[in-house]
Amino acid sequence: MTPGAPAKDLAVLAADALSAHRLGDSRAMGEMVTRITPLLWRVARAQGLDPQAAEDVVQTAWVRLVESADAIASPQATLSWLLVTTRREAWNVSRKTRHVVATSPEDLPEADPAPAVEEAVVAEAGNAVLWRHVRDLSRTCQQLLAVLAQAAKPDYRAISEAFGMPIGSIGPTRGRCLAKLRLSLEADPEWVRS
Amino acid sequence: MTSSSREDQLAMEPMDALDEELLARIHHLHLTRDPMPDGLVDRISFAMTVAALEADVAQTVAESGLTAAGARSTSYDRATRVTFAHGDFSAMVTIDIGRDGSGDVHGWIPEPGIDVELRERSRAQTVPADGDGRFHFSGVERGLVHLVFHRHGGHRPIITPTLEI
Repeated sequence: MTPGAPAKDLAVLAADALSAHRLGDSRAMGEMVTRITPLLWRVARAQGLDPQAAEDVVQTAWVRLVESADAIASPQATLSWLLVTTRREAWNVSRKTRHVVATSPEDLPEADPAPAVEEAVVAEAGNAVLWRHVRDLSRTCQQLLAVLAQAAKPDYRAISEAFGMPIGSIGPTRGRCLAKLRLSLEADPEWVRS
Repeated sequence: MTSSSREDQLAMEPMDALDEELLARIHHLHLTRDPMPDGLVDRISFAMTVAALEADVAQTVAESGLTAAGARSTSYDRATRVTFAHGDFSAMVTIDIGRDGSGDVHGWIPEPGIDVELRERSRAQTVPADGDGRFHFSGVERGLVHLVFHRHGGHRPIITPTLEI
């Protein structure tokens, strides 16, 4: 990631919006919600929540941000704070709804992250094959690739805090996940790179 | 080469065109197969506003649409009248859409001395209700808005559900 590049857009946007909001100017909050909600939605869905639960979790994270606006130590941490809050809340909800005792998000059983997706009519065979192989990856890989794919210029610091993963290991983990995906695709005769 | 050493090798290589393509396709799959629900951002914005204001949310108790007859020279294309209530507080609002597409909001509340705030997506304006409890906003841009009634005497503000201009 290049310092100062657009890579930090979302983090900077969030920092600026929260700083202004604290001073009584909330006009930038709308753009922040519009741009960051898709990322939070993806994090909640990747945690295995159904769409209604994911919506509730994302909304809860934003409302907490408003309630905690003055308690967040540094506006620069706003994006990380939102990601961490969403992931924690999603984990709490998914733990409650599954009645499973888990000690960390990674210990949760592999659940169907998107049941509606499988019911969708598969129009493109290549995409269906790709989707199947993505879904066979570990939960961590699915979440990381989902978030990296979502953000054109991902903010590694925010992802690191959200996933409890050292910044230095995001690149290698991404490489490992993509390598697994590529090998499993290669081994599948149905996979045709279009 | 065994598959695990091949995986190790692949994992250490920098992102290449296929990696980028796979990420782009995964993103596309998410967008098309698992999109965010419609209106999610608006619902979140409303929830944040309610939380920020520590407001009570009024209920819509009556709503009626009035459509202007096509050829008649009325000043509006369509109008909507909505009545809100929360506890012993109520408010009636009429929204007219002018020929230029912008909205006029006329309202009435049965208690004077209330500041009425119109919240649009990116701006807000506040007017005091007059001695008869009437208030008016003109030139309101099309979109989703809320009215917030700021009462005196230590009452929590009251916010309306979304109004479509």
